[in-house]
Amino acid sequence: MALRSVVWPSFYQDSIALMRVAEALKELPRVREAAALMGTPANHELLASAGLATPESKRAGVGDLILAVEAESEGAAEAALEAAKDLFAARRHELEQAVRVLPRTLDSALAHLPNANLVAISVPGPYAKFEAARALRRGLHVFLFSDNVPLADEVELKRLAVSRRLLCMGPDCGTAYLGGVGLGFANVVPRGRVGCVAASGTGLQAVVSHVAALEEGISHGIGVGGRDLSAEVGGVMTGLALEALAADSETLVVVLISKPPAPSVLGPLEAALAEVGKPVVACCLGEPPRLGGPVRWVTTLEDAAEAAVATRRGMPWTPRAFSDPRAIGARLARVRAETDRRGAGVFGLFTGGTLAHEARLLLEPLVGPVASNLGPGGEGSGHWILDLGADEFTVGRPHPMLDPEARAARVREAGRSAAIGVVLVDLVLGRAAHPNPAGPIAAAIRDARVRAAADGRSLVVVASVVGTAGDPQGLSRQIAALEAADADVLPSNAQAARFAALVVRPDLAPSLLGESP
Amino acid sequence: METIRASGLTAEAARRLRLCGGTGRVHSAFARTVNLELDGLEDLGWLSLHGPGLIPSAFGIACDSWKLTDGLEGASVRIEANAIALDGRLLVRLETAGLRDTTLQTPAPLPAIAGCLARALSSITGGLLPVIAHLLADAALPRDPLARKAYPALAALYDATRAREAADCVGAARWLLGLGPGLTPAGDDCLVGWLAGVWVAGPDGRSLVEATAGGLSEAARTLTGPLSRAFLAAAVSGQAAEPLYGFVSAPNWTSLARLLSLGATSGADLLGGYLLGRAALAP
Repeated sequence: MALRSVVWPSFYQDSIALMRVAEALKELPRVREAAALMGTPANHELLASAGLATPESKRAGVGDLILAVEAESEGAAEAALEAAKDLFAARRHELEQAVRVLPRTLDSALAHLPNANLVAISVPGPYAKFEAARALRRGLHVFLFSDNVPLADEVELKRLAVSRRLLCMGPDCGTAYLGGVGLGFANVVPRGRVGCVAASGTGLQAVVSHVAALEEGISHGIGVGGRDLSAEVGGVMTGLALEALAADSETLVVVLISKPPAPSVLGPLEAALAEVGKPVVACCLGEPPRLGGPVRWVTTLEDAAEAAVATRRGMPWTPRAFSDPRAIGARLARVRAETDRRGAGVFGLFTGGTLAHEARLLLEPLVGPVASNLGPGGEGSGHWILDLGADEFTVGRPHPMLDPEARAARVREAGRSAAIGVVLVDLVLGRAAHPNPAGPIAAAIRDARVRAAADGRSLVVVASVVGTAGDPQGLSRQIAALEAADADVLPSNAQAARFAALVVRPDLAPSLLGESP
Repeated sequence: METIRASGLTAEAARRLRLCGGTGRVHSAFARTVNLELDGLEDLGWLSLHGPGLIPSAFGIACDSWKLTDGLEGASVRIEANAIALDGRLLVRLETAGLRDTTLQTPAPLPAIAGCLARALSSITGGLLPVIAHLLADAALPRDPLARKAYPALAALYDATRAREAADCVGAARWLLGLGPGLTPAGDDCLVGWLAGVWVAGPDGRSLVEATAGGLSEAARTLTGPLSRAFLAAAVSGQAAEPLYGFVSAPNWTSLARLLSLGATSGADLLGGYLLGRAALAP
């Protein structure tokens, strides 16, 4: 074991940079421990008690930064210290780029970019209406990333937007694509002929990623916010977005992605879908699909993408539980040969709210009630789905799509519970998301398995990844990292949920796979 | 030379501008904050993009625009009439900057301590908040070296605060000064929060802060860095960074979220210290 440290005199970096560098070093190969601390007397004692103090580190003063690394070899420790220099340099560059032009008002932003026709707003919710209304009055479309915007404000903003024929995407709009430009959390997808209207950011990401995997592209993806189809808002932005896609010559097929609309909105929505004048696929998760009529209703995000692409190509399509039932059967047999988790709990830890919702909808008919922070019911059933992107988990810290550590801690914790048989996770890639979400999750999966094995149990981890080959994180690299940790990675969230159900209910195999268990 | 116009500054910053010797240097520079070492002043001052009250007792200047130039560290600083000049490269004009007082008001609303801890712990890992949650709400004590070292000190600080024993408070604080990760170590952030919690608890608390101020400042001279020293010096005069000021004045989920978003764990540690001070002096 090699212990190395370096002291940077009077080296001041913000706390987030220090934390990120220490975490990044810990993930390097053959690095056991890393710390980045100011050289105060208390921290010298702390380093000593952690076994990380060196003669070099002891020379650091209160204004000096100590970087200490414990690694399996001198070479690995040296490499880590070198990597730290690059990481600090990159962080500084990132911040400098971020503030090169930093307008603090809408007017100064417009002075920098007078031809802009859209403004992205992410101020705290109570102030969002003021800024969004100013933008709309200046004739700008609005991408409203802010959450916690009062419902009354949303109603008012959308009325204003509709009166001016402008898009007000959001609030809480995580993703959109306009004219090939991704806004917010956006996967890298080709331009094409499928247009989307989505009340869910991760739902839109899932659909466009599946569309890209099927080698088709996106014309536009208009986010409307999760409350647009509520009785109060009345689906006004969904209506405007459908009109826009109907009039757009690039869009040949339209996909609607949402949760069930309010009863008072459903009728007008169905009428609006029928009036698009182009093939429409509707995926209102939890809403019973309609049969017949001009709109193709589907029940999962994957089905929405497949149905849209098949429609675009003029090919027949029918929904299926698994894209490759034979491979799933073999995979299930392998899992069952290693462990029998019949009757155990499924524990879903999701970063995407819509993916969590979809998983719950699919699991409940298969395994029974599922408890969740998404809504009441299922308590005491032994099955849980947590949307870790919900407000109660993100107050004061980054969304789990930005920082996977909090979820990784929960995955580790799952290894301690005898009641949990299957951990179900999603990974959402794309621009603005964490650069390597699979890394911390894969490490946590390994730790959880070791913990479970120490108690004589086994833990099955089932995952799905929303992403494309063009995403900065690399879809195949992320899948490979999860598979290297022995996770079963399925091609979609829906298939992952069904596979999780099969692990705890192998008797379902005949109906889901069409073959004997 | 680029000229920018400050939109606000704290009353304390204005006072210090009058007191300083008129020259100094840039201590350190970040994307949105420049720390200034001014001759004649013991503690650092700041130029900050965040807002007039974000950084207490200093030149918390909110500017309309900002371009950080490379290599500002060590650059000379000159105070001119109604302006601050950085190395001949940047002139911050102050004529139209509005004044704002960031002194905490006493008494302040008492937050729901258990609820705040539960909410914060659901989203924060690391730092000293979990240790304080163990102390105040019987949460599990983390098993890391930082927690092992901090727990006895925090427990002693809590007991000394309850007993209104200034010397014991300083004794406990000495163990926390400079302890833990972060540019301002977690222990320092806790102490800043604790000072705020004690300050706003009423006349008893304010007397306790005044009685500990000298000892704390003396200890901070050798036990922690200049940035933390400046924050502590602000805290003993009842000044608070804007997110903490916001939470203390109106403890609700929105102000809590804003506080927790400060730094890596700085906001959580400030919260922990604040709740510890409030809990110790709660009626």
